[in-house]
Amino acid sequence: MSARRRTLVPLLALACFVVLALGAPWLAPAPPNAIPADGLIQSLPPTVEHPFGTDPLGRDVLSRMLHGARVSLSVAFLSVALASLVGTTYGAAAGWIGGRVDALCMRLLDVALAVPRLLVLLLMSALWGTLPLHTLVLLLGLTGWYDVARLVRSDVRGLRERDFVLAARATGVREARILWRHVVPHVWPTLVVTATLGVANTIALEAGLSFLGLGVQPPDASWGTILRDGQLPGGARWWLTVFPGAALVLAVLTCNALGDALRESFAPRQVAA
Amino acid sequence: MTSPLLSVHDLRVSFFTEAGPARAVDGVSFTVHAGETVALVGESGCGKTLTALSLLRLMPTGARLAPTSRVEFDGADILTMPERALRSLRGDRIAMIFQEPMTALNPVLTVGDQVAEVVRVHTALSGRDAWTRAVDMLALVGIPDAAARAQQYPHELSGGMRQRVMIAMALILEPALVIADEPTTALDVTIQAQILELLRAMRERSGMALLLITHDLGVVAEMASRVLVMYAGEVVEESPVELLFSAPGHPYTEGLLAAVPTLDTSRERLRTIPGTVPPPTDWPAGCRFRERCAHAWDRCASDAPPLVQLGPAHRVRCHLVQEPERRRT
Repeated sequence: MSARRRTLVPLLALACFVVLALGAPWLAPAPPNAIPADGLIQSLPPTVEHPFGTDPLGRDVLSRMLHGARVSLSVAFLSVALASLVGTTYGAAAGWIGGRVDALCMRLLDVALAVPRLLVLLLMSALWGTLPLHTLVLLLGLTGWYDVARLVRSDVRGLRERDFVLAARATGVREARILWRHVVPHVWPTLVVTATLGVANTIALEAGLSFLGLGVQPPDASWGTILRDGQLPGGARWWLTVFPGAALVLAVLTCNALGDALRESFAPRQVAA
Repeated sequence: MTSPLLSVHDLRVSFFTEAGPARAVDGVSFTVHAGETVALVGESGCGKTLTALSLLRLMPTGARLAPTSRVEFDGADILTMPERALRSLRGDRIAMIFQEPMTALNPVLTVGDQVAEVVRVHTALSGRDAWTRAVDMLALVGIPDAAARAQQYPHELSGGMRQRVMIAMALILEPALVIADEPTTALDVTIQAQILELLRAMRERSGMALLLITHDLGVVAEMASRVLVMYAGEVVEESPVELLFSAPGHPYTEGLLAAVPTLDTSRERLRTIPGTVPPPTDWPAGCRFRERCAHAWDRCASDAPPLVQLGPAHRVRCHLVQEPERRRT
């Protein structure tokens, strides 16, 4: 596959996910939390009426998956945006200032990285009881910026020795302005790649937390909560596992493929610049 | 005589390295008067660029200035003034033109943006007015179709055009002093002539003083009125330009002049000065040039020669001045 197509295919796939999620209220055959009024409160295998079957409360799984996509994707996008912002600020500042400040910042980061992220998340959700969605975003964002910070910092370390930084200084530009206007734009390729891979990571992480009952709370749907509803020995309700599971795998794969393709397409330009 | 615009007194810049302290600039003093063009000449590694950067206090991290060093611009000491005051000088009263416009221009910003930024940093002009002024300046330095070019990125321009952009950036606020560090070295010969012509024209127009750093004596002859020759962190000769070419005082200057190829020498091998500049951690005792000098005798190894006044504006750091009979022919 050409480099262009390697980027285009996952980009289109991701766009499909986003369109499906945004269009959920119109595309879904039923409201996501509607329990059927006729009394059929049981999990049924796929039929023409419910192509992905129904869950133990008789709710349409397709509808819940479409609405769940909104939750899963927006949690991932928002928390990665937050992580990118925090990580870029921290990394850029540490790399720019350098010296002892930089060393201290990096050691702190080492400490943060030594604590497994899942452990922190489990602990926090245990302390919180049930997590409101915005708190979940906040938690995922505030535990997800370490890699961004390290990568941005190492980019900035290299960039601050470049001639154009010296030239900007020679024209009397303030340090903060040099950093934001002259240096940080060069970090974009790194940031876009890391963020894309971060989205994949966060989608999986949120699904895991929700599956454990610590992320998105019922009755709200996310792919992880639907999976949780399908927990039965012997795969008796396979449709509650296969469909959201497939969606999850596809979404994560798409983001990873996009991240890799972007990294490759940026590489030669970084050399040229 | 009026007081000089720039006066550098005993400038010493050193670094700590694993091989010991590197005295990269070691006691350089000179002056530049308003409107004057002074050339700073020497081989790579003799401290020219570091001297230039020190004039704007832009030394790399780790550089140490001697407490006795002073760089006075218009009466104020650049080396001790507060950062804020220094920033307002940079780009406005003193500007710098860098050697390699490809790396000194930011690849992610349009050239118009970069020229306009100088205006925005130092004046209260709005973004749009700054942009207009940048486009006018780009036109003035000879960039055709400047309004369209201003919106392009550095990589879309040729080397000569990029250097014109650098010059536009440096000169847009009509600084009193422009430091040009090898402004033509990275360019084709034909473009070099155009850029020198442009610098000359801009000098006529604004009456700026120019400190021209170069290793190209052709450029010196065309542009400068006074020349400082640097070797191993020191000024070894200071001379009016005509005198430098007709009667060089220091063997190093002679060597540099002899190394310039001319039409009559084209059939022989090109002349060089044997050896290279020693590393700044390891300047030889006595005269720093003696290991490469054809005339050196024992005194050169024991006594460091002082800078001796030869004529009204001619100073030379060589024992031959006092003992001309030692000259070998």
